[in-house]
Amino acid sequence: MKPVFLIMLFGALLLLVEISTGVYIFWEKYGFSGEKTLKYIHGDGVFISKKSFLGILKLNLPHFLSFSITTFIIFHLFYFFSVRKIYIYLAIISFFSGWINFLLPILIIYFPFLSVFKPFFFTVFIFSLSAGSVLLIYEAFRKLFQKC
Amino acid sequence: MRFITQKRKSDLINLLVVLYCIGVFIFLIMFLVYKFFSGEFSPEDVKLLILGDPESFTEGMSVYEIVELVHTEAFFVIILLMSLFSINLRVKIPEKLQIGVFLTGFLSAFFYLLSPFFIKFVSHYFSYLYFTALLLFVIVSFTVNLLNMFSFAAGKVR
Repeated sequence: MKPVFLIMLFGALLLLVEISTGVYIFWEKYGFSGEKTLKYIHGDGVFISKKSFLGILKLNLPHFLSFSITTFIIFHLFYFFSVRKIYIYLAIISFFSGWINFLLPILIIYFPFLSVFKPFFFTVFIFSLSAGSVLLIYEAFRKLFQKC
Repeated sequence: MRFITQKRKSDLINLLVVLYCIGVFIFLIMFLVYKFFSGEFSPEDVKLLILGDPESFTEGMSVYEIVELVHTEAFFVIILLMSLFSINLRVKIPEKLQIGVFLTGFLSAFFYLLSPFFIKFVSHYFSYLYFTALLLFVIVSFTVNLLNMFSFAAGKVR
């Protein structure tokens, strides 16, 4: 049992915990509809106040760095296994969908019609990152119990 | 010439690791201080924070607030543990000890992150699990960090 694969296994498991909390928060704030996303950012005139550019920026700025770091960490670990094309595709999809996902709230302030894309890109981002984590768990598990 | 280049490279890495370890020490101390003063340390304080107290009209944390808290802390835990343990792979200690320490660190992190949900939905006694897991997580991180710092400072790494 090599310790490095233990780090990969538990790191990916912890990331799945992080992803599930992120999904819950997204569901509460934006819902999975363009209409609820628009209401959250532009307000509904009654209960939900309109968000400012600075307020949205304050929330998304740390996410930009943190998602980049975590996505890089997960996908760079595939270097230790035979690199299949799917890992490369998943990495590209994760990064691109992540960038668009965290840029969209800022754009929606000025272009409300873009709110329909927010649930789509968030879903793609979450699925690709989760798929990467699950594949890493599978590879690490295989290596952990492989006879040397 | 090659030897000098390689020596400079390893000196650079050793220096960076030692500086990073000092940063992690400062973070761990500030983390504990923050937990203590924000009422997220002792089992009684955590129980009060999450469940509230009807007698003093204190409301507990909502599910959303707990999820937000766990979301932020999970990120710090991932970065901290993966960086510390990855650096520790190069330290010359028995593999079985390394596996034991890594398992303890990761499992304590899991219980620390998930125990607020157990406190909210199962029983307030899980506040003791929270406290134990938090202490264990900090102790393991501290110990591994110390080991990393001394090993890299002395240059005695794989």
